[in-house]
Amino acid sequence: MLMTAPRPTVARISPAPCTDDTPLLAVRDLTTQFPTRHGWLTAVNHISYELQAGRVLGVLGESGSGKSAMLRTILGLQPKSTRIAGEVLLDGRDLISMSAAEREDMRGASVSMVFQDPMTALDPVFTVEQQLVETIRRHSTLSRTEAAARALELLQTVQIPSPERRLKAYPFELSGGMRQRVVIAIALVSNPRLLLADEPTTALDVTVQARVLDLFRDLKHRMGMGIIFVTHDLAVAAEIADDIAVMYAGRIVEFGSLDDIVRSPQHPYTRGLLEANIRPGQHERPEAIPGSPPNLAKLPPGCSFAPRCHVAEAACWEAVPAATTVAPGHGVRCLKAAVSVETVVR
Amino acid sequence: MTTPPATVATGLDKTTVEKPSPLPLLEVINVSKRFPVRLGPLKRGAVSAVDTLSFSVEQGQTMGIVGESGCGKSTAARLVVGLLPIDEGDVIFEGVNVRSPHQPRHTGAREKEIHRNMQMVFQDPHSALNPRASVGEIIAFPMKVHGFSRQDQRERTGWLLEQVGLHGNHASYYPHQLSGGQRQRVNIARALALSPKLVVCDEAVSALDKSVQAQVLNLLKDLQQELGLTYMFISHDLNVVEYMSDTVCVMYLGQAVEICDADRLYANPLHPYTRALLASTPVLDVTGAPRPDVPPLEGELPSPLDPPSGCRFRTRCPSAMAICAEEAPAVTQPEPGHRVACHLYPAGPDAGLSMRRHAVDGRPERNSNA
Repeated sequence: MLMTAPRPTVARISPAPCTDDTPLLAVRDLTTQFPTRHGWLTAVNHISYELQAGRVLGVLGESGSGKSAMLRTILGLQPKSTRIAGEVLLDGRDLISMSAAEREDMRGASVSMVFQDPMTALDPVFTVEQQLVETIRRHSTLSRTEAAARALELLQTVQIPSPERRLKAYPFELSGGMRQRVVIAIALVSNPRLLLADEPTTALDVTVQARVLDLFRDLKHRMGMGIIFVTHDLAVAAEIADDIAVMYAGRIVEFGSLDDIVRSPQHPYTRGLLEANIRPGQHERPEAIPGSPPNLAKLPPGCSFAPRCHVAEAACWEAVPAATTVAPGHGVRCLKAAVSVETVVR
Repeated sequence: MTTPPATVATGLDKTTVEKPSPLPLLEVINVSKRFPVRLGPLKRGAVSAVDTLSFSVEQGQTMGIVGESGCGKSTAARLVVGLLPIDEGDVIFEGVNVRSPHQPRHTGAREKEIHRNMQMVFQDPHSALNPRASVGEIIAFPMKVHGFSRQDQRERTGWLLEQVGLHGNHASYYPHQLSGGQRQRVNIARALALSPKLVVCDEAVSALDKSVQAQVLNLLKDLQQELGLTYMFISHDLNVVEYMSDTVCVMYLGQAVEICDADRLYANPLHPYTRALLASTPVLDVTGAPRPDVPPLEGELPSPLDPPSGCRFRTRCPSAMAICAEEAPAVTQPEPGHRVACHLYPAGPDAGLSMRRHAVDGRPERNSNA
C-alpha cells in the first residue's frame, strides 16, 4: 500500500455552481484551530461550500463536530488566540481578511445569528423594546420613536401575539418560543442577507418548534434570505433544509440536496445517523453507531470516522479521503463510497 | 454474560423467576402536587404542577410519559420515587402505600427498603455524577448506603459495568474522562446497583447525540429483558417514547389527558392535544407518506398558577365547546383500554373511570385506601 500518504487534495464539496449568479456565501477551505494544552485542536477542518440566496443549508452534526465553531468563525466571534485560515466570501467580500471594524459593520447588517438558548441570548435586565431599539439604532440613524415603531413591526414579522404588550416585557416574562421569536426579531433588524441559526429550535418543545420552523420557512420565501441552519436532528433538518452538509469531526463528510442525503446517503456516518434515528411506528432496534466521536486534538491520520465505521479497511486509516462527486451536487468524503454506490444500484 | 453475585441481588432473582404479580407493580392514585409561590408582599399562590394524576404500571412493562416542558412529567417522576413529598393521593408500590400520612417525605427504614426497588436515571448525565468521585465509587455508593460489604460492592460494581457495556477499567475513571454516552451508562449502572424493580428514566436520552442515543435505548431495552425491569420512561420525544413504551400517558398542564397502548395511541390519537403533539413532531420523510392534517397548536401554555377552568387544554383546543369551560372532562373509554379525558367523547355507562387501569382485563379497580 501507500508508503507515504499523498497530501489530501482539498477538493471542494459543493453543489453544482449556478451559472447565472454568484453565490451569497462562499466558504473556501475554512479552517479554525484552537490552542489547547495538547497542541492545536482543529474544530473546523478545510470546509468549503456555497450558499445561494433564498436557500437553506442544513448543517447536520453531533456535539463537537465543529458546526457551531464554523458559524462563529464566519461571524468573526472567535477569540483572538484562534488560528483561522481560508476565505468566507459574503457577496464577494472576504469576512476573514477584513478588519475588525469592517466586520463589525457587516455583522448585524448583512449577516446575523440566532443562538440556541433564547434565555442567555437576551439580556435579562432590559425589556424587549430596549434590546430591539438598541440594536436598531446601532445599525441605522433612526430616532428613538422611529426605532420603537420599527421594533413593533419586527415583532409582527416574527408573529408574536399582542406585540405592543410584549415590547414592554422582560425576557423572563416570555415563554421559550416567544423568547426565540424575539431573538430572531433582533437578528432581522437590518434585513440581513444571510442568517446563521445555531440549533434555534433545540431548546423548544415540539409544538413550539413546529411554529418556529414555519417562521424560518416564511423568512426564506418572503425575504429571500440565505439561511444556514445548524442542527443535530436529521428530522428537523429535513423539515427546513434544501441542501444538507453532514459534518463529522470538523469536516464535511457528505454534501447534497435533502433528497440525496435522505434517499441515497453515501457516507457510512450519514447512513448510521439515518438508521439511529427512531421513526414513528418503529419496532425494530435502531442500528446504533458504535463508539463515540473522536477527540479533535488527537484525530486519527486517516478518515476520522474509520474507528467507528463498519466498512473501514486499511486504506481508510492512512489518508483523509478526498471529496468525490457521486452525482451532480452530491459529494462525499469516503473511500468506500464508489463501492457503496454499486451495492445501492444492485 | 456472567451471573450476578448471588448474595447481593435481592429483588433480581425473585422478579425474574416469579410470574407477573396479580397487581400492578406501581399504582399512582390521584396524586397532586402544588408548589407555593410568592406573588407579592402579601400575596401567596400555588403552582399546580401535578393534578390528580393516576396511572398504573405492570411488572416488566414500560410506561411512557410525554408532554411539553411544564406539563409536570418530571415532577410526577420525582413524586413517584419520593424525591418530592406528595401533597395528596397515593403511590402504591408492590401493594404497599409508599406514602404514610405521617411521613410525606420518605425517610424511615421502610421507605429505604421501598426505595431500594425504585431508582432514577436523570437527564443530564454530567451533572448527575459527582465530579470528584471515580466511576467505581459512584456506582458503589448506593450499595454503601444500604450496607453491602466491600467485597460485594466491588464484585457487583464490576458486574454492573459489564452489564452497561463499559470496561472493568472504567471503574477508576472520573466522569470528566468519559463521553456523554459513557456517562449515561454510569448513571444507569448506579440506578441498577441495588437491583431495583422500577427504574424511572427522566429524559434519560435527551441530552445525548442521536447516534449515541440509539446505543443507550438499546441498552435500556436489553437490561429490561434480562433483568425483568419495569420502566417509567419520560421524554418529550414522541418517537422515542413510542419505541420504548408499552403504554403511553400524555400529560398537559399537570394532568393526564390520554392513556393507551403505545401502538393504538399513535395510530388513533383521540385527545386534540395528542393529535397536535403528533402533528408537530418533525418526521424524516423518506416514504412520502402524507402528514396528518392537523393545524399546529396556537397560543401559549397557560400559567399553572391559574389554570383554565374546566378542561385545562380548552384555551388552545381547536374543538373547544361551551361545556369545556364549565366542567372538567371525565375520563371515558371510547375504545377498550384507551382512556381519554375530553368532552368530545361523552361518558358512557362506564362513568367514574380513572386513568389508572388502562389494560383490558377484568381486574378490579382499587380504592386509594386499600
